[in-house]
Amino acid sequence: MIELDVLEYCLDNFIFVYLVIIVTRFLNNEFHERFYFRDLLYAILIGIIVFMFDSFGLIIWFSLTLLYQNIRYKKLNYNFLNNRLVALMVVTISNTFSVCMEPIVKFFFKSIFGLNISNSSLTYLYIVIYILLTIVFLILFYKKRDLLLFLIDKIIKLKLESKIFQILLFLFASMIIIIGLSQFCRITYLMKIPIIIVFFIFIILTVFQVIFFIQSFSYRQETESKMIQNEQLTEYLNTMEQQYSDLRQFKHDYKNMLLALEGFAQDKDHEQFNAYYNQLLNQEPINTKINKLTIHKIDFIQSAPTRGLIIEKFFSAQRLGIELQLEISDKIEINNYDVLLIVRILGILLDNAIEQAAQEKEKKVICSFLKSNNLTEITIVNKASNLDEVSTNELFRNGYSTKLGHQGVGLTNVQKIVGKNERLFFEASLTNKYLYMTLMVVGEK
Amino acid sequence: MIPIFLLEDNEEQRKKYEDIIKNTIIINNLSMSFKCSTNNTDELLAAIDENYQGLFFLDMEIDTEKEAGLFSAIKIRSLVPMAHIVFITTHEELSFVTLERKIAPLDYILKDSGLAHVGENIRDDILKVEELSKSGKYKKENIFNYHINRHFFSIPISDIVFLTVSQFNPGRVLLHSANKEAVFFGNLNDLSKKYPMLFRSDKSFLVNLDHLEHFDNKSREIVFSDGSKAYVSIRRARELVKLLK
Repeated sequence: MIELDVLEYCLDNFIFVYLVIIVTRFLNNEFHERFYFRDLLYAILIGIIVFMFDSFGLIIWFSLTLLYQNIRYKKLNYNFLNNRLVALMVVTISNTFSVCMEPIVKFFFKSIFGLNISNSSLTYLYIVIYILLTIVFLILFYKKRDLLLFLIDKIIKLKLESKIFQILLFLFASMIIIIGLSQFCRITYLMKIPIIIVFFIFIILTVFQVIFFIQSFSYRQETESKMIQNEQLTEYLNTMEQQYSDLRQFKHDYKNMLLALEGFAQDKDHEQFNAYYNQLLNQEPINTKINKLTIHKIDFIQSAPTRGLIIEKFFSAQRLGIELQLEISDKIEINNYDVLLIVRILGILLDNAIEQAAQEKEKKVICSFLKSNNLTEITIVNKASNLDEVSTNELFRNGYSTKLGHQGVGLTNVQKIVGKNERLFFEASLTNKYLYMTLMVVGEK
Repeated sequence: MIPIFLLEDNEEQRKKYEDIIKNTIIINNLSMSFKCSTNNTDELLAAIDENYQGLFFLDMEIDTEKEAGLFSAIKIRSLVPMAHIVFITTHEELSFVTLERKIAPLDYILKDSGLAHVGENIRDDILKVEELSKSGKYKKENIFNYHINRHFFSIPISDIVFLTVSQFNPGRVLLHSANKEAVFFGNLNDLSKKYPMLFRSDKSFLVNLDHLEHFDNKSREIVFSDGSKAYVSIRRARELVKLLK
C-alpha cells in the first residue's frame, strides 16, 4: 500500500480533480484559454474537499455539482452531468490501474536494476502513470470521436439524457463503493486486481447495452413516425378519392345541363338560355382551380420527412380553411444530414404562416422550393396586413409576436438553429404586405 | 435614356401597349426610348445593347411556351442586373413566389382586369422607373452586393439600415433594411472598406446614417426610423457628433 504524506495526498487529489475537469471539457467540446486557469483554482479547492473525505469525496463533489445546478439553473444539465460522470469514471479507472501497477513497477525496478525505490518517488511515479493512462483514454476518445459524437447526437435527439444519466450514476456509485470498501478492508492486490478487471468488463458491457438500447429506441421512434406518415397518406388518398367522385358527379350533372342548354338553343329561347348559361358558369367546380384541392407536385420533393411535413401542414391548414399552395418546378433533394433540422425549421415557419393567414382575408400560404447554383431556397409566404416598418423590425429583432404569443419565440429559435449550422441561412422580408421567410440550404461543396 | 422593351405574342394587344408606352413617354417628356417590341424572345434579347438599365414588359406565355417570360427574365437579369422587369400576364400563369425570388420584378400587371387596368399600370410603372432612375438608387455604385455560396444578391445601399455581426454566429453578417433581414458570410472590416458611405459606429456595427432618427450621446445609442438600434463606441461617438453637426 502506498503511504502518502499530506502534501503528496493533496497533490494527488488536485491532479485527479484537474484531470476530471479537463476530460469533461474535452467531452463537452469546449476549449478556451481562460478556462485553464479558472479550472486550476477550482481543482485546488475541490482537491481539498476530496482530501477530507477520501474516495467518498468524489460523490460529495458530484452531489455538490448537482445541487449547484439545481439552485442556479433550476434544472439539471444532463449533458454536462453525463460527461462529468464519464470523466470521473475514466480518471478513477486510470487511477486504480496505476495503484495496481505499483507493485509490478516496484518488482520490475528491483529485479532488473536492483534499485530500491523510495516511497515518495513511487508516489510521483504512480501519479505520472495515471496521468499517462488518462491521456491514453483521451487519445482513444479522440480517435473514436465520430462514434462518440454520433452517440451523443442520438442521445440528445431521442431525449435519452436522463436515462443515460441514471445508468452512469449507478455505475459510478457502485464503482466508488467497491473501491471505497476495498480500501476500507485493506484487501490485497491479489483480490483487488480481479475485482477491477471484472468491473472493467462490466463497464464495457454496459456501454454495449447502452448502444443497443439507443438503437432499439431509435427504431421504435422511426416506426412511430412511419405510422403517422402512413395515416397522413391514407387521409390524403381519401380526400383525393372524394374529390374524384365529386368530379365524376359533376361531369354527370354537367352533361345533363348541356343537354338542357341544347334544348333552349333549339327553341331559340334567349332569355332562358342566358339564365341557364350563367347558372352553369357559377357552378363551383368550374371556379375552383384543380390544384387548390390537391398538393400539386408534392412528389417533386425527394425527401420523405419534408414531404410528410408538407402533407401534414396541408391538412392542418385545410382544417382552418386555409389553402397551402406548393410552388415547385424541379425535383428537390434535401441532403440527409440536415434534413431533420430543416423539417423542424419549416414546421415552425409553416405554423406561424398558417396562424397568421387564419386572421387574414387572404387565407393562403405559399410554400415554394427553388433550386439554383447549388443553393436550395425554401420560401414561405403569407399575407401580413398587420405589419408595418416598425413592427417588422421588432419581428426580426426581438422575435415579437404578430399577435399570438409563441410565434416570436419560434422565430428566434429558427435564427438560433440556422446560425449554428454552417449550411443554413435565413432571410426574412416584407414586400407589399406579404411576409417572406426564406430558408437557404447550401449544397455540399 | 432608359430603353423600354416589350414582349407580347398577341398582335392586337402588343399594338395597344406600344401606343400606351409611346404616349406616356411623349406626354411626360421622359428621357426614355422605346427600343424594341416583339413577339420573339430571341429578338428581344438581341436588342439589348447596354447593361446597366432598362425597363422590360414581358408576357409570361409566348405562343405555346408557358414560361417563356420567366426564362427571358432570367436571361435579362444576367445581362442587365439592375433591369426593371414587369410581367403582364393572366392570373393562372403566375407562380408568385418563384418569380419574386428569382426575378424580383418591379410589378405584375394582370390581364384579367381588362385593358384599361393594364394601360394604367404600364403608365404608372414607366413613371416609377423614371423616378427611381432620377434618385440614382439603382446605379451600380449605389448597390450593395453579397453572396451565399455562388448565389448573388443585391440591394440598394440607401435601403440598408445597418449591418452587424450575427449574434448567433460571429462569422456571419446580418443585414438589416427597412423591410428585409438577411444573413451571409462576411466581416465588417472588409465591408466598411468596400462601402465607405456606411459609418462604422462600433466594432460590430456598420450603419447607414440616412436612416438615423436620433442619437443619444449619453447611452451612445442610435435609434433608426424603423425603431431599430445600434451602438456607438466612445471613440466613434465624438466623430458621429461632429458629423451630425
